[in-house]
Amino acid sequence: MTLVVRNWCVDHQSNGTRVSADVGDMNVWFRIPPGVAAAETGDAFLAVALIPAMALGAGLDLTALPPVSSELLGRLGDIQDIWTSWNPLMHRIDVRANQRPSSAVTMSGGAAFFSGGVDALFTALERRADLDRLVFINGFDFNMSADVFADARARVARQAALLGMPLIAVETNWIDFTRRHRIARSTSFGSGLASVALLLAPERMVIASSNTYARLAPAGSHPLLDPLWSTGAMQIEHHGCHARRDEKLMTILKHPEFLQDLWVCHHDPVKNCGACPKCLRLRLSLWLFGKDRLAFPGTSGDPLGAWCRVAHYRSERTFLADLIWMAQDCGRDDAVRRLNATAQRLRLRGLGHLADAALFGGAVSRFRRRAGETPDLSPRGIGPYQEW
Amino acid sequence: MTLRISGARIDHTATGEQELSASVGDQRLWFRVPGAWPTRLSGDPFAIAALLPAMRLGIPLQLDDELPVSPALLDNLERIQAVFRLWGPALRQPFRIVPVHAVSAAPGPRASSVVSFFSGGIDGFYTMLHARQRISHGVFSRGIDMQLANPVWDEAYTRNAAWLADREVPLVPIATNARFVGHAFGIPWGTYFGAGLAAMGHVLGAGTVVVAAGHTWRELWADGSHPLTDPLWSSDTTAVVHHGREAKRWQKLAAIAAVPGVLDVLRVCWQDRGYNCGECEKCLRTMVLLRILGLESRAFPPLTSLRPLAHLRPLDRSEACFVEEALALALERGDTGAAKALRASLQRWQRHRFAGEIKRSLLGAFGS
Repeated sequence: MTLVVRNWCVDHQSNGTRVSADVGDMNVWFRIPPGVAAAETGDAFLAVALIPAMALGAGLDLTALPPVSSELLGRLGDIQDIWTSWNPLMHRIDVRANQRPSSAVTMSGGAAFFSGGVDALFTALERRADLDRLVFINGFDFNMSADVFADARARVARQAALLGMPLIAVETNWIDFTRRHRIARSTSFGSGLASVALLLAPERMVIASSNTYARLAPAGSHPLLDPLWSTGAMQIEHHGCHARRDEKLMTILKHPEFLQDLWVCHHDPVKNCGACPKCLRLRLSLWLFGKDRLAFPGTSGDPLGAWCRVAHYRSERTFLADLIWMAQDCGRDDAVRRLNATAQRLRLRGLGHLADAALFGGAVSRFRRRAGETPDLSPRGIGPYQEW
Repeated sequence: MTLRISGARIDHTATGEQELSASVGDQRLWFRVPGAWPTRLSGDPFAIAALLPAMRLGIPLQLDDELPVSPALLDNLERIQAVFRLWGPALRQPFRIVPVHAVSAAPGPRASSVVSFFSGGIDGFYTMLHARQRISHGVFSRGIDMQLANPVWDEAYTRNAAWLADREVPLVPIATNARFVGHAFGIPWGTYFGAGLAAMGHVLGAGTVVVAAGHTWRELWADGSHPLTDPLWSSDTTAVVHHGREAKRWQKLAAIAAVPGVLDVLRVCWQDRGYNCGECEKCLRTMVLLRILGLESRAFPPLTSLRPLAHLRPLDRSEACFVEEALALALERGDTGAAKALRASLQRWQRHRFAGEIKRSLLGAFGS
């Protein structure tokens, strides 16, 4: 089986340039603003198609596209080694493409992906001196209608203006494509960002990290993976692993003008809903510093209690240590005690799995898997990590 | 207060080796290389060797002016500190960011040599045979791969060198007390060995140092040698690369076993009780892999009983990981005897973990 990419097309329209190709039986497109050039290479669609092709176990044929960077092609072995090691549902595949050494970039200087959240804002602030522009995407985290996108873009544009950088808004149907192939976003988002980076091709593209060096679990965007999507002319950097969440917030809090538009929400692309786990975590973090009203005006209740009720979510419990650091930094002994109690509660919950392994040789887990209680695939598709 | 590196010099030993040494605080760190090996005094290997001790002490690292350090390495030392600072809790080390004061070295030529550490073990063989670069020299270290006074060293060196000579790759002996210096500063070898290997590579003036990985891409926990940190020990003249994460231990063994002579040279033992003692954790898990893969090696005593393996408790998750991989292979290959022994060993580790978690839960500690 082969996943063929063909019918590459660049269409200059009044509202921007549309770059598209058929990846298998689906047309995948990107729209970039007027005045922004697109790299005329096959690189972006290689990044779009590789993970789905590996999940399918299908060869990838890009020979109908413009040449791909030979430097990038040379790293595909490493990218595939990492993914097949992380998840046995991924397969090593052959990639056929015309290739040439990377030529000049389409835009000089550095760029960073920017959604207006804690990680992106920290990166933009810390790397302000060597960034020239920010990139915001519709069709990556959310598929936004024109109106909603306009509101979200306005929010991000306000922050970009405070940073003194122009904002490039890119639209794409990338998220629809990955959902169609049942690839979890947590698996493919790194290659998704890489595809936009390869399309815009600045000298440097910076991806803000969601994790620290202390948490290097498999993920679509990772300090070991992101740089591998670089070409000979464009370098992709993964930035921010050196700072804990509390340290990132302390940097941001030195610039309170950004707090009003600081956005993290899982549900609403325009403003924080205040109820989802990410919003609850941000609100708690800012509450520890006494600044929650700036980002969550009009909210009430106990932010610490609200987050502790969702602390058991896999996406949240990894941040518990950072929140304890934060509470200690702020001298909030009461919060430290309550967070440690939450940690204790989570530890006791985790004892069940350890007890099964220690006392029953994992028999209970195996039984549950056979009974279908723990499906091999996450509901959202192939995750970044799979038990062998 | 600073951790000062001073008094660097090159001496010649009674056995004709060159000894490069410097004081690292109150410890004397030395490296011994062959008498004819081209060497020069540089701050790079000593800065590398002293960084983690300085971070542990939380005091600035200061190199004397006669030990200039490569500008690229000075930049990398900042980056590597950022990693180890956050790894500190997992490694149980109070690492802190410290300034490094050193004179910048003038740019110099980069050698064409590509060296890789070769003790006759599975990872070293795999990297020697499969590294992207053509390796020009193997390096066999005394004081690291084998203890300084190990009487088996000569035999191991001769066998390794003979196998490499068939491939026209010379084996360079090097000795160092780096491991003991790390211990003197309270840093166990498991945390320090990446820096130790890199320092040796820099002492040899290699153009490229290829460090063989001990784990796969799945095992990305904090460790002395890591794909993130090994390249950060690079300078303007010496590049350090990390190789071999694409294959599990048994896959490496199966790959190298196909090459003539490898299995008869294979040496994994660190116990200094013969070539391969056949009793320690490393020997036993290699011997069981050989059994499951249907391979024979004259370098090991015969595996006459699986009972010692079943009674072995992995000491950490690194060892547990190898047992898990071997168990999966045994089940796949239908070796029920090996599977039973490996499962028993693994369960000892899981009970140990469970007991530790119960204790932490009762004490209410977090984050261990």
